[in-house]
Amino acid sequence: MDVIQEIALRTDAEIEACLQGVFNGLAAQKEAYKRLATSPDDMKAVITAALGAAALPALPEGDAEDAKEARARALRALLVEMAESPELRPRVEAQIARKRDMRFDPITSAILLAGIVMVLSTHIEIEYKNEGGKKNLLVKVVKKPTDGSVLARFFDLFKGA
Amino acid sequence: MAGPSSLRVFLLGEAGDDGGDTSITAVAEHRDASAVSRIQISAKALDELRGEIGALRGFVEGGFPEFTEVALQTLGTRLFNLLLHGDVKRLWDRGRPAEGEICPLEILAEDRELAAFPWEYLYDEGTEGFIGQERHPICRNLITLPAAQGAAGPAAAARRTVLVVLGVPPTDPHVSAAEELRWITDRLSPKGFVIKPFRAQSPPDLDRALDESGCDVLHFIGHGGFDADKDEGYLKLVADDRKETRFYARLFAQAAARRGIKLVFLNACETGVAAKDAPPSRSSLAAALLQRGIPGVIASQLSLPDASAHLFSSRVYERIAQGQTLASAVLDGRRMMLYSASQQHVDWGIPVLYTSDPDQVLFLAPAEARPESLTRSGEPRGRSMPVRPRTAPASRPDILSEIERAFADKTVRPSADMGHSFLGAAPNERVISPLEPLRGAAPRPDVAPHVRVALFDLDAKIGFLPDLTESANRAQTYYSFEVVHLPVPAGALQQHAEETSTESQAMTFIPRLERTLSNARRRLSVDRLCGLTRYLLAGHHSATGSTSGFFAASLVSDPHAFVISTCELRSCAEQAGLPFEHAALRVCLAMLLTTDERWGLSPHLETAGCPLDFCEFRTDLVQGLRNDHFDHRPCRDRIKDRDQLAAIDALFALGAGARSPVSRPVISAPSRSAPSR
Repeated sequence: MDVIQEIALRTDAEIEACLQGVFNGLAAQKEAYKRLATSPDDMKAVITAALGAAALPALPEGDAEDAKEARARALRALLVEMAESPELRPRVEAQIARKRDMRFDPITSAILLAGIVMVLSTHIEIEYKNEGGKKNLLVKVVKKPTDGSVLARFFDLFKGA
Repeated sequence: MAGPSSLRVFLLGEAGDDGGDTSITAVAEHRDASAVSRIQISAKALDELRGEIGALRGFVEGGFPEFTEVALQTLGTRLFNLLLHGDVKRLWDRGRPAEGEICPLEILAEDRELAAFPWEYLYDEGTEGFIGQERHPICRNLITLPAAQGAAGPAAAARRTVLVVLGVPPTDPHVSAAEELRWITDRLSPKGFVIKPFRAQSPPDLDRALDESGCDVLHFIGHGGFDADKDEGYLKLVADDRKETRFYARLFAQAAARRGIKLVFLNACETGVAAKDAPPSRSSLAAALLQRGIPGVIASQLSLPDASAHLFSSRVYERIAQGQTLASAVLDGRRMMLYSASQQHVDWGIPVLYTSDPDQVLFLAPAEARPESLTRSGEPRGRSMPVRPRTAPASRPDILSEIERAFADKTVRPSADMGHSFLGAAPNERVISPLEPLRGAAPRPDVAPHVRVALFDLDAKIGFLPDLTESANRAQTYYSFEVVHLPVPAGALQQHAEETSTESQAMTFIPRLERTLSNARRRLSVDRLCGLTRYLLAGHHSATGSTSGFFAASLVSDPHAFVISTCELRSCAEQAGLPFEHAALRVCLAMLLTTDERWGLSPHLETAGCPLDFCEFRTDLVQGLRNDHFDHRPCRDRIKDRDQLAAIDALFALGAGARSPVSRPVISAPSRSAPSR
């Protein structure tokens, strides 16, 4: 499968659905990601832990047309990043090859953040620990992403934002 | 105590997280016997099991990693050995159901993680089968206080109301609500059920509807999920202005409780999921309902594929309306999912049944529609599974003795993926059973047809065949199609090599079918008999002398009885954007034309998009399947019967109406067709 071409042929809605599906699959295997999906703040914490405090770009928000377009481009860039990761590519291919309509509820409303976390998932381990009745997020960076090696295309979209 | 026939197993102990061994005690009850066994699981084995379960879930939710049928059997075996061990296994073996009966397996687990294991996939290596597909419907119950108090006994025929709640706009792209409602209505309305559709846009909406409807069954269509932050499952209600509200498990269960509802059917994803760190009755939609006294809850432990959901729910309702037990109905529903064109090998295990009594009958069958109780016979896998007929028995014909002898003759071991041909009677179906005498003829259309065609599915698993025949008969009256069920003799599937290959593969051996089918057409009072098999055919081809690898063949003893292979037809249909069952109908139509002696038609080498294309390469079929008209003049002009032509045109138009906009280029190497006529 030429997965990059397949990504190019997909509509914006299909790209978002694909990302949701990939995250769904990851969350089904790793419970911590399921919990992470419910908390944009936790996702930002993960990104910060992996890439440093200044890494988080200003993400496009709101319903204005240009924000929607920027989000769509960003999601597509994230999917391409994932497709170029040897560990994540099989997940993307599996989603693209899927022909079945599944009745799943989108796992997260913060899909952009989730997409970034997915790209970083091969570099980190996350865990929620019960401490004093509260669930605390622990992030361990197992493979430090080097500058430019991860999310390059994605962050390029927001340079100067 | 467990119900009259069920085996109830309590799993006591906690699945450890600290790296140490886990000790689990299983306490089992069956009728008046009980047993205890203990099992130690090492931390490594438990982690491996967790990993496999995670992989299964990842495959269902995200398509990755690949989780094969063999992997599913391996996981199922591990779960089986965990649950049924030592004396509990001995009790299980002693309690095996008699021929034609079932024994529900009820599972109650103390540990929340164990309770969430996918027990539906239990696999018995001894019988080489998933027990939840065969004679042991899997049910879940809760270890909880206060005990669930079921509603009053089965509702009499006069009072049966199903509230069908739609939680999403009808145009939701992931939920084909209209189709699901149609399936439910088609199955239940004729049996005296009142179907009340309701569009719920918020929890108060749904609460009011429950209040006003006085329903016996609540069926929810829409989206569900599990909020990992709140540790609670929910139903999602989407308003027309797209505003979304979550109806969480505890509140929903409160709303549904104490209204006399007998069954809640949650046809939405993750409605059976519970939290690891909270009691199921407070986190899982299904468990919360059960704990609040709803006698039966059908939910989903993972994301549910839309198409399979219809098959499952419609079959479950059909059986419940016939007076079957809840557990038996769910067992039948799982088997029906195996027929879905888009099904994966894991889909059938996704629905879960929560019940405090698997043997309960929710509805008494109306007296005039009540069949003999449907049972499961003990025929080996891969055989057609006859169902007892609805009419009174007549005298026993000689063919039955012959068929019984054929069943005793085991000459081939079924392959692991043959699956079941579970067949249940639907309005357009008839059954020939070796155990019961031949039934009378099916109802005839008002206009006498010219050609009566019986279709029987050996193993092609064309799930929508009965519906297709109904549509085909409505579209025209020249041909009268009906689905019949015939026993498939042992030895019908044999290993043969294609002429161009040295590797042998399973093929349907036509000479073995001769004995069973040679008189079938006469006994069924039909003009043509068409068998459908997913394997290539083997035998002695009259025209070419070839012995294997062909796609269609008539019987030597009866040229008007033929078998067609659907091998690769599914992918050709997909490429052509035609539903699989319509593609099968077209191939059948081709054989009907070639066996019509009036016109002297036979397959032609030219690939012209005609049903009579010879299709030297199997993928040449796609061109014909893409064509919505029988417009190949050399063939069409030979048919002088205008009524016949009109009927063929109507059947093509039917396929055109069912077409989906999919047409992908062929990229795989074409496979060579053997002579097909």
